[in-house]
Amino acid sequence: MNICIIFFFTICILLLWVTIAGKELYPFSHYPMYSGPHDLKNIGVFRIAIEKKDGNIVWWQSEFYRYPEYSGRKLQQLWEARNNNQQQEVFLQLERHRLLISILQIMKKENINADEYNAFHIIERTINSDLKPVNKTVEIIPLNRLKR
Amino acid sequence: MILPELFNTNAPDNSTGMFARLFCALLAVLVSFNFVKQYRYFLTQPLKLYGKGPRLLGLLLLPALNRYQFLTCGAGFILCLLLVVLNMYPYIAIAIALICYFLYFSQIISLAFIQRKANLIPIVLLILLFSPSLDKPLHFPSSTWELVLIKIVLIQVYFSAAIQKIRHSGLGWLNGQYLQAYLIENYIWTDRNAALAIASNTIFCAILSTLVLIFELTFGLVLFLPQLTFIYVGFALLFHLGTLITMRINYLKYLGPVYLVFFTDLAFRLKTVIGL
Repeated sequence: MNICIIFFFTICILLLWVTIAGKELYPFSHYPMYSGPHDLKNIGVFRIAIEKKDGNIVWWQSEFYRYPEYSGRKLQQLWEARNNNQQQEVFLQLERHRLLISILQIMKKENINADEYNAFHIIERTINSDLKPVNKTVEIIPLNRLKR
Repeated sequence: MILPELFNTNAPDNSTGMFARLFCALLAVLVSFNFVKQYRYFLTQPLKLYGKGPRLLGLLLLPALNRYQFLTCGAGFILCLLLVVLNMYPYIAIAIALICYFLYFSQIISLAFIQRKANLIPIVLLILLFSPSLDKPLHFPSSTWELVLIKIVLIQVYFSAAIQKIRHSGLGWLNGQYLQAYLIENYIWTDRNAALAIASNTIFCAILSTLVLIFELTFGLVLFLPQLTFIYVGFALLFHLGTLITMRINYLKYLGPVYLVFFTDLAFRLKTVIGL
C-alpha cells in the first residue's frame, strides 16, 4: 500500500509541476495549444499550391494535413528570415530547397506523380475586413529546378 | 474525499479491473483501425521533416525504428492490450504494452491525431501497472485510488489548458477575439466553412471562450460532486466534436478510451442486466 501512496503522489506532483511550470515532460504535458493572444490583423499563412501541366493551380493536399501546414509555416519562417537577414541568403535558400525536396518526396510516397506538375506556388494567404481570404503569390518555383 | 480513506476503502466490485478491460479493449480496436494509416504515415518518414522524436521524461531519446520494428511494436502493443482484456498475465502484458507504446507512438508522434492527444495512454497504463486489483476477478472488492488518479490525470489536461490560457492571454481570452482569430487562421488553412461561420459572430466567440474556460477550470468538480459527471462528460464530448469540426483537432480518438473511467458502474449494471 505504501508504494501505491508514493506512486499516487508522484504522479500528482508531476502533473502539478508541468501545469505550473509550463514544461513538457513527455508524456506529461502542460497543453499550451491555442492559449496565447492572437490578432485577426496579424493572420497570414503561407500555403503551397502546385501548378498542373495544363496551367491549373491546386492546393497541395496531403492525407496527413499537418504536412502542408508545417511546410507552409517553415517556408514563412525562411521567407521572413531572408527578408531580415540578407547575409544568410545562401543558407536559407538551401534550407528552402531541402524542404521543397522533402515535400516532393512526401507527394511521391502518397502516389502523386510530380511529372504531372510544373511548379510550386508559394502563396501568402491573409484575410480582409470582410473575412474573405486574400491570396498573393510570393514565389513560383519550377519543379525541374528541384528535380535536378 | 479524505485521503487516508482513499487508500483504505474498497469498492464492492473490481472497478479498476473493469476499467482496465474496457480501456484496453477500446484502445486495441482504435489502434487496429488506424494501424494501416499510421503505417502509411510512418512510411513518409516524418522524423526526416520534423526531426527527432520526444525525449521520455525530457531525458531519454527514443530510438528511430525501421519498418519491421515499427510494425512489430504496433502489433505487440495490440496483442498485449488483448491479453489484459482476457486477464492473461495482465501485469506482464501492461509492462510490455508500455514499452511498445513509447517505441511505436514516438515514431509517428507528429501525426495530427496523436501529438499530445495520446499522452494519457502510457500514464493510464502505468497506473494500471501499479494497481493491486488488475488481475482480480471482476466480482472481487477492489481499491479505488487508481480510478481517482486516472480522473485526476484527465482533469489535468483541461485544468492545465485553462491555466495556460490565463497565463498567456489573461482575461483577454474571454473577449472572444483570440478564439475568433484562431478559427479564422484555421479557415485560411482549410477553407472549412464551420470555422468561418462561428468566427463571423464575435459575441458567440466570446460566449464560447467563456464557457470553455469555465469548463476547463471546473472539470475537477467531478471528483467531489459525482452527480455532475455526465454534464461535464457531455460538455467535453461537445467541446471535442466542435474542435474536430471547426479546427480538425481530434482528441476523441485517443483520449476517448480514458473517458471510460466514468462508465465502470454502468458497465457493471449492463453486465448484471445481460446476466454475465
